[in-house]
Amino acid sequence: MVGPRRPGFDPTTPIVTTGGGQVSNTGGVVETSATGGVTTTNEASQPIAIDAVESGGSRTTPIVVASATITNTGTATVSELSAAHETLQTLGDPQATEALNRVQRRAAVEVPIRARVATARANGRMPGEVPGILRERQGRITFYPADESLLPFELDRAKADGLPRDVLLIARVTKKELEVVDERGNNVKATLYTLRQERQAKLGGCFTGIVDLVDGTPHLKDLATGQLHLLEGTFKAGTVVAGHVDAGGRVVLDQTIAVGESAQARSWTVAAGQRLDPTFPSQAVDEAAAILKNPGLDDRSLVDRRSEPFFAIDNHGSKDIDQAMRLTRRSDGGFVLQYALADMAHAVKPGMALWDEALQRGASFYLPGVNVPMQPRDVCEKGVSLNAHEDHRAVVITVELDSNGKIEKTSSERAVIRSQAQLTYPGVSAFLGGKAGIDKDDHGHDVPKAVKDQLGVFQALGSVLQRQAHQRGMVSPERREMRIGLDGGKFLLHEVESDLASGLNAELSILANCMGASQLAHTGIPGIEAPGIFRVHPPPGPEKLEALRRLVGAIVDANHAPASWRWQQGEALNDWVERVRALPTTEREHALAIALQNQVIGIQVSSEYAREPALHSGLMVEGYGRFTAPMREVVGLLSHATLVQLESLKRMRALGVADADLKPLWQHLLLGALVRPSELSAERAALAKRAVELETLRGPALLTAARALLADLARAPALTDAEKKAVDATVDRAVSSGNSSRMKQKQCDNASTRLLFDDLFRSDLAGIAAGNPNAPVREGTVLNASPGRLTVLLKNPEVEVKIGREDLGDAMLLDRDGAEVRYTHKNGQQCSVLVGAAIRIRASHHDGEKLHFAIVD
Amino acid sequence: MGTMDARALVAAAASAAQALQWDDAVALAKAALAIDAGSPRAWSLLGLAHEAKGDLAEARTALERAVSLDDLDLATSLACARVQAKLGAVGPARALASYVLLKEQNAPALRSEAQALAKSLTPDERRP
Repeated sequence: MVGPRRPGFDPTTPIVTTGGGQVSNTGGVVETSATGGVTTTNEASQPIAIDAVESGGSRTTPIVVASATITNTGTATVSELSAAHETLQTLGDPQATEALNRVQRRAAVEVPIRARVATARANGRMPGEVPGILRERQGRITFYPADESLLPFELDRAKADGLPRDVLLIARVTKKELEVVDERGNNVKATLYTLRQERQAKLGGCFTGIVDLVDGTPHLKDLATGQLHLLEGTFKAGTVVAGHVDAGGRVVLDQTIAVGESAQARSWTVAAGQRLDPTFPSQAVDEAAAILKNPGLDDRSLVDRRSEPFFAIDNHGSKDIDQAMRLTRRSDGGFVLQYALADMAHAVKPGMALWDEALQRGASFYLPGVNVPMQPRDVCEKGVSLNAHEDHRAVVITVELDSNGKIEKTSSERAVIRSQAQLTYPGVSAFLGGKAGIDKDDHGHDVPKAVKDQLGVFQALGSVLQRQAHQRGMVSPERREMRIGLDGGKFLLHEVESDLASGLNAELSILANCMGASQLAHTGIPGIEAPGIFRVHPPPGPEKLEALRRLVGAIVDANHAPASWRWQQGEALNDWVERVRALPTTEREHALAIALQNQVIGIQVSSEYAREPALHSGLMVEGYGRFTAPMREVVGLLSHATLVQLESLKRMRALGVADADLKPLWQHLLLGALVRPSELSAERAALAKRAVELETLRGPALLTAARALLADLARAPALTDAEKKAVDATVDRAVSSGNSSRMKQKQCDNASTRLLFDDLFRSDLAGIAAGNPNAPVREGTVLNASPGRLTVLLKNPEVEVKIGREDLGDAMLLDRDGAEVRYTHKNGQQCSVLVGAAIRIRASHHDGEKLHFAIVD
Repeated sequence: MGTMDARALVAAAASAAQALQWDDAVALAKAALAIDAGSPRAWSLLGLAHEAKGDLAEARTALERAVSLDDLDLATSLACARVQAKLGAVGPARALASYVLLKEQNAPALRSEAQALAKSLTPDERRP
């Protein structure tokens, strides 16, 4: 792609420029102000790194401002041309040298920037923060955004020196925009980002670390900070320990968490790679203990629902119970669902170290044999968790539906509940399937009849909601959920059996999330808007769907399947997927059906958190929030905090507070619920505190207190600009942290998969090392093909492996609408592979980073 | 010499291409590839330059190599499909255009060009 030629400029003009004012593109020369200039790098698809502009806060390090959205046209900088001259002198290529001379003489070295506005999502805005990984390979330091629609960009070494490699970093948008010319000659505005390290040192002396041998001497590498502490004694590399620094500054080891080289220790190395830290600051630990001691059950404003038979369903042994439920069937066939959610927003508030930790971590993380919670276990497994047979605070979202699942009424309240049974998904599934009784719960307690009686309603409502989901067009490709676990010191793959109860509960959870989000998206009060957080998932466009139709049709034909397997014109995608799931009668057909459905998965982009409600095309719902995991997701915590205050505002309105007075109250409710007091003036913080305390009042007492507060608000100074923006800033941070945490979890999953592969196929390669040239042959199905690689789903173990061009041969190209890959084998033979076809492969070698596979002829 | 040296030559080749000086772009891209045969950008520039010069067979070879080295470079994938189509390789061209459509995210220009190419290569099934 070559853009229109722009007016050239004197190649002797330095491309790095400085100046005042705004960043702009003036006829090909980029000028920028502030502290830096503009540099270009010209590697393949590498965009432009823009020198530092912005300073950061106390917990971030300003490193470099860069554009994740701008690519240069591939033109050279003066210094690069100079380097090219030197290279050619060594190479001795007269033709290229003359060409290079002509390039310089023609003054073709301009800075024609090609902006690729590839990041504008459905909401038309650039992302405020872009998580990604900084990698150093072959001397180049490149930031790879997690969002694949953003191009990687290269960083100057001097600017990247302070940043860690291969862990998550955040490219945070600056206030500046760069106006550039795109490849079609249009002026385009692009956004500048600054790279920041996500986390700085903290912890007040407590830490978890991994033993690392530095020149043979054991050191302890702090998981949170990466800092190395010298250790005295003998330790096995990779051992994970918890410890603290004593008054004399010495490292004291308190506990061995995992012994070096054990599978769990290897799992910890993955956690360490993402700086996942199980240790909390001492202040946060103290706060957690205080929550455990005083869970707030004496709050007289709570609705007492302890006598009602709430119950929870979760995995066996689960300790962080976010949800419990109560279901009632109305006499008219309708349903009442009371979905109780752990009242995290009561326990964890702005100003607490726990609040900061939640915002920082974003979520709890799960790795094989390792769990790094968002909050200390005293909070998420004890104080706040809706453990059965204990009294706990809850936010109860109540939804009334008719017999067809049409929503009639929804509300939310704070209550105290006592879950009467902790059931498990397999247990409930077996009970509903008539395969087993359900007399004892997961804690060994008897299951009350009032709970057992609800399970039929649970099944009925869940089924109604499942039908609705299909009617909405929700696509449900068949996916076998595999979980990586630890067993006997090795990573192993377990199939998670899809069970009836987890599917039904998923529908109830989606319903509760949608109802919570709906209350925030539509407050029902004129002029009052709630700062909601929504998970959005853009749908594929018609061109993509048409390409998909061609592809699956070609796969069907190439594999000689009946034409009835095709996605028919006029047939809804989810109907076709359902049909394909039911068509196979043989193992081979089933493999083909999986490959066909995999194409549907392949066109989907990732969902993400956003500030504006939009379609979640995976669920086919508009306005999907996340309320059901408040102890494990920061988005849930903030959503709860906002919803609770909205209910408080509604109560004031119902008592007669005029709509005109609601706005200042709402502003202060949000400031109190979402903003750290330290970000506000003392007076403002006090007013905000009074506002949120209104939540505990009812009736005349509430009205009196609200009016008194209004009077004081009228006398208080107007909100400053910073105060006006403080709520949005916090919510934006939660959005960013939530998205980053999902990216981190994905990185953990990928790294865990690599460790799993090492264990699964180690014996295969051991055979080669022992002199057997052939690793065992493994059978599979070609799931997917791209111009550069094949994806194969193995039959046993059931994992997906990639085979790249380097492992196949030359002249690799797609054909048959993408259903076939053709290539020239290294032995010169012309080869062809069909998507959906059976294939035999074997492990070929390990390059130090990953395992490689080759096709067996 | 390694990839760092090749980078400078790739940049110079891109400058030549930017100035529509295709012979120079070819010479510089080839020089880059002599150092780093695995540079997708060098293969891409070589292919684009050959295409501009009308050397379609060479263009196809280079672009197919570029795409196989970096299948996330959708702009080069589309250029490759375009050249394949010009050479009558309808199947590969249509497959690659479809691939671009399946993978692009919010790149309307790329999408419309890929869609037009795929459409032009798709036989009208309504035609007798």
